[in-house]
Amino acid sequence: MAYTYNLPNGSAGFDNSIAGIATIVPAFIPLTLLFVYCVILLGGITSQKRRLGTADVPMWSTIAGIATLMIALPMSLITGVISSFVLTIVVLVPILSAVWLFLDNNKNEV
Amino acid sequence: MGQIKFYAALVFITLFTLAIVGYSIGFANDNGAVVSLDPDSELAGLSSTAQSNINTFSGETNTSTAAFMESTITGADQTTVTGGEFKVGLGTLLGTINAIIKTTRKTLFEDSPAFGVILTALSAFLIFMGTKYMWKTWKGGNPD
Repeated sequence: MAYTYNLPNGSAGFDNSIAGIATIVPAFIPLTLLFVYCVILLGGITSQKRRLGTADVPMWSTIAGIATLMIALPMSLITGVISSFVLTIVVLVPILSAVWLFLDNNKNEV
Repeated sequence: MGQIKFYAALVFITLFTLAIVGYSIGFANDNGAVVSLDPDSELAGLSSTAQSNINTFSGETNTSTAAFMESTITGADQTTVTGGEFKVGLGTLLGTINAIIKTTRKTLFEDSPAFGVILTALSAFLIFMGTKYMWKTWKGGNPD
């Protein structure tokens, strides 16, 4: 079977496979982190809306940003998984969300 | 937004920024991470700006509180002309917001004029909000 890409070396460990995938598909890690961010953001907004009738978008954006940061930091331990540019964005997103949250006029749950 | 809430927001933004940047850099240092934010001059600059801002704020608040505690009013005294006793470091804390915007512009947009799009969007949003406030007040609703 012909592959359009080089298969990562599966016998060298799981982290090697992830690094291999990240090298072959550079958008894989940023899109995974975006997926995690969006799942927490949309899930939180939907559940809070069901509970209270309104949703606190800045709060969920901050929580999703911190959760994404927690996942992104261990990725920085292996060579070639995450670039410093993506890591910087992941650090800046919760900071900007927090500015939005703290300067927001709503009655937050936090 | 109330003044107390605004002050609290500025202090918390500064502390939160310090916590997140410090945690990320500390994680990389402790674990010998391959990708580290430590050499990133912009983030290190943001951290030190926030640190010095919160230090200045703390110093100015202590000074103004001490001045207020030690002030006396004697008989037939004039009202205080200046509000020096009530001066706190609002200006220094706004510096953190400036630093955050600067870091965002330099790191995410690599100092390119594309950042102007963000400012355009922000000013358009403010104009939209202003128009909405005027319309709501005009129709007799609560402007909030």
